[in-house]
Amino acid sequence: MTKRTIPIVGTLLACAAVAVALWALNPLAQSSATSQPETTGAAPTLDPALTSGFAVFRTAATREGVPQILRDSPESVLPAHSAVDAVASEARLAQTTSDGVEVYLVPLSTGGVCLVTSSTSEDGCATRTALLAGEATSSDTCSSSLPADTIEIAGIVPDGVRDAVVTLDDGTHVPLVVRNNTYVARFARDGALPRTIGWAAGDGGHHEVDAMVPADTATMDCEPSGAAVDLRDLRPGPAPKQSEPEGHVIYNNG
Amino acid sequence: MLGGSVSSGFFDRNEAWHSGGGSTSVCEHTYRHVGGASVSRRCAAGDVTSLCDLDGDYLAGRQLTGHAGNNSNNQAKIWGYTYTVSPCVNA
Repeated sequence: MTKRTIPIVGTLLACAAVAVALWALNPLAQSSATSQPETTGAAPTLDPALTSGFAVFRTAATREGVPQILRDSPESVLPAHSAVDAVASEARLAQTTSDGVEVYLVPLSTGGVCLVTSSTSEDGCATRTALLAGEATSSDTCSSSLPADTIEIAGIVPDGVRDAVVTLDDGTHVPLVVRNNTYVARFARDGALPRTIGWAAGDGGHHEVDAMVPADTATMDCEPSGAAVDLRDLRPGPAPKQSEPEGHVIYNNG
Repeated sequence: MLGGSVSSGFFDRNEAWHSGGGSTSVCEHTYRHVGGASVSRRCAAGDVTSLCDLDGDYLAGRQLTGHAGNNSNNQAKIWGYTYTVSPCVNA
C-alpha cells in the first residue's frame, strides 16, 4: 500500500463507519431487523396457560382427526370476529361422542379457544379469561344442526375435574362425561333443562358455573330452516363472498 | 337474555361477541320478522355465530331480525354483526 492510497482507504472506512452508525440509529431499520424473524416461518406457539392447564393441548397437534376445512380455511366456519386469531395448525380433535359427533378445539392467538363440533351444533369461542376461570360454556338452543325438540350444552374444563354433574331446573343431577377437557350433552326441550354445571376441582374445592341456557328455552318457538352441515364433508374452496350493503351491519347495546 | 340490540334485514349470518377479555356469555338469536319464530340461538363465553342456520330463510327471501344479547349478570358491551356469505360454506 502506497502513501497515496492510505488516505483513500481511511476515508472509505470512515464513510462505512458513519453509514453503519446512521443505520443503527434509524428506528425503521431497527424495527425491520428485529421484527423480521417473527414473521418468517416461526412455528406458532400456544399460550403457556393452555398447555399447563389443559391436557388436550399437551398432546401433539396432527392433521389427522381435524377436518380439512377447519385446518385450511378456519375463516369459513369459525365466528368471523375470532377467526382472524385462529391458530388452526394447533387444532385438536378432543373427543368423539357416543353419537359419533367429533369435538374440535381451535386455539386463538389471544389465548382463547373455539369449540366446534362436526355437526356444527357448537361453533363458538371462549375468551382466555373465561377459559381459565372454568367458565367456557356454550349452548345451542335452536339451530339447523339439532332437532327442534333438542338442546345442547358444551364446554371446556381444566385438568383435574372430577365428578362433573349437570343440575337441572327441577333440582335433579345428571352425570356429565368429560373427555380431554371437553363435554357435550343433549337434553329434551320439553324436559328439565340444565341450569348449572358443577365439579370437584383439582384443588379439592367445588366449582359451579351457569350452564348458559336462556330461561325461555322451553317455550321458544324454534323453526330452523338451514341445512344440516357436517364439517367432515366440507372442503376449502374460493373465499365465501360477503354481500353489501344490505344485511351487513355491526350493532351493539352500548 | 339481558338487554341487547337488533338488526333487521336480509342476511344469512348473525354473530355476537363481547369486547374486552372478561368472562361473559353472549348469545346470537335470530328470528323471523314475520311471525317471530326463532331460526337460530346459540350462546358462548366470548364469540358465537349462527353459521348456516339462516340459509333457508335467506334463500326464501324472508326478512330476519338478528339479536345480540348478554346472557350473564355482569355488565358488558355486546356487539352483533349481521352479514351475508354466499355460499354459507364451501361444500
